Amino acid sequence: MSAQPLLSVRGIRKLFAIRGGLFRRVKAELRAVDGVSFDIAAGETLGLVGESGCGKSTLARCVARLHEPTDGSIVFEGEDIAHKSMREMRPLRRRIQLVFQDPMASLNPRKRVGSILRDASRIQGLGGSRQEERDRVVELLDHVGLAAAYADRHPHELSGGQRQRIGIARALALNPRLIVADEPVSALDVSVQAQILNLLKELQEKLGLSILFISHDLGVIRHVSDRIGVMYLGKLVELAPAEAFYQGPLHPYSQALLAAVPMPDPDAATHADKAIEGDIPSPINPPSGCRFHTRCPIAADICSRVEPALEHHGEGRQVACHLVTTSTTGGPTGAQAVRTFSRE
Amino acid sequence: MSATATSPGRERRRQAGVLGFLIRRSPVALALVALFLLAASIGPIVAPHSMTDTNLAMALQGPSAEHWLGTDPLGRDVLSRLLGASRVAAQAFLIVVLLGGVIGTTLGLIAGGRGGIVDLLVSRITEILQGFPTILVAIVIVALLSPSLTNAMIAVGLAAVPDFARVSRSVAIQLRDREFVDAARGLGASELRILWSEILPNMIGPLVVVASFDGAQAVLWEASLSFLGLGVQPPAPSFGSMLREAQSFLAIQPSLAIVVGLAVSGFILGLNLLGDALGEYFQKPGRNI
Repeated sequence: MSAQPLLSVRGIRKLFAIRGGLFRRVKAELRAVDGVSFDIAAGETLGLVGESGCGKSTLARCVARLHEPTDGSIVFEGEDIAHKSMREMRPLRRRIQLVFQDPMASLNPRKRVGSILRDASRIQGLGGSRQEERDRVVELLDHVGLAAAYADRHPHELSGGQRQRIGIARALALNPRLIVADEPVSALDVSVQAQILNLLKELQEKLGLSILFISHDLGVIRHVSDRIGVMYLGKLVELAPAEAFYQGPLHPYSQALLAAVPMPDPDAATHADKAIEGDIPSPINPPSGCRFHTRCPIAADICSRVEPALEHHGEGRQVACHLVTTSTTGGPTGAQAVRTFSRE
Repeated sequence: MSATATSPGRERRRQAGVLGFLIRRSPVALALVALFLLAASIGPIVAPHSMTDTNLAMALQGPSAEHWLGTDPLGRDVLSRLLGASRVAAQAFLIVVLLGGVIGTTLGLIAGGRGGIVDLLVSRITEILQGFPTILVAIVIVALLSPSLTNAMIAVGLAAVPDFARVSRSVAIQLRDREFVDAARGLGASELRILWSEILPNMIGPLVVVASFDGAQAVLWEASLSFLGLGVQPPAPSFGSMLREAQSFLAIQPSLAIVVGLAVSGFILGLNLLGDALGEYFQKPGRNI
């Protein structure tokens, strides 16, 4: 990790109050994100995976400051933006931009593509003369592989992939340093997904962007990420370089996720033994201790009592699991290997 | 993904969308409203006779070559007066839609876009406004000020405020958490800009529908108030005052009441049918005005 990361998130929490009853009292708290820390270096892509409902989208919206986090700090280019007001955020938004999941919903249906892209600069007071603005729109369209003629189209006249290209072009309009992409390809056909992922990688190299890439699809994440973060019920359970992660995830949840990825090779070893059952527990009343212990195939006594911290295990790997820490021989060993150990 | 060339033909067809749809879906409505708009705009210029000059010798005549639609109890040409009355009705329409539309849409946008206490306050105000019977408010305003078209229509316009407010509020609530609004927030747009530039353009369709229905109501109210003597003052023509004059002579010259009644009904029918057709048109997503 470089000396000064572009983005440094520390202990970020986002609680949603659930109100009800006569006076709209706070009845319960939903812990969407509950103490997450990570860094993103300049030019790096961090892929964040997890089941739906694990808080990854909320985290993305906190980083992009569409939500104000309840606690924690988000240091972007040396400045804590976690609790800045919307007005204070305005100039900073040039450097953090969002790409949304559903490209149809994220483009105003009344506006033509050209005006969507123009407005991005105008909002920031960067609009120039008519000619300058038109040139900029053409340049942005060119960045994302679309012909200038698309500027006159409405979003509903475009295909899903083209729409997402516009969504990316809009994010690029302000020359950001960091792009928060919240499930940018999950609404697209598989064949189009690859094109959009390649486009993102290409743009990242060309423009030196950092990307926080959120997805529930490990296959997609693998394609774009330098490092992988795995979220479970509002917590980060594992953080590792992509290569190492895909060779041998340490946390039992990561192992289960990876085992669930369908293999195109019928002869490949199946990982049915690592599959987990049941649904993600409610973030309103999360399990005690390790949040994963209710579904963990190798949970021990300690797991339901003590919450494991995210600890370093060398090679830039961090894991939050009691069973991984007990292994000391050599480098980090997956939780699976620990099972025998803990049985002894 | 190769860039397909834009085909101008397709573009043009889409541009002609709303008019083309109305011609196919509701030609009667379009014809009625167009006829009325024509009458209101150039009617007073092309009117064959004076609207106000009386000629008692020619009173209460039936249709003839000289007076196509006959004459009224004071011998005035009914066709010319109808053309004049159309303009009055159009003014009523405009005042009500502008007043109700601007105030109502602004209130609804702010209420729906902001939510919370603002929404609560605006919603209660519009409900109170809706609680007053229009005719009573009109009588009070006219009594306080003076009987005139503008004063009567201010009352009717206030009655239209809640309709516009409710529609714009509900659309704003639907849209304020949509991703394209979040995208604008993410770009640093102010709430005011979001309301104006992201949300308002998306409610034009529903608002046009409300306008056509409330406009039809306005025409009816104008006729009612003028019938009661609270609107346009004689000798200026209006559907309402013409009907009142015709009423006294129903037995002697029924064509008078029939002609004026048909004109009012036709226009209001046209506006209502147009509203229905527009509502249908805007139900499909991605349709622009």
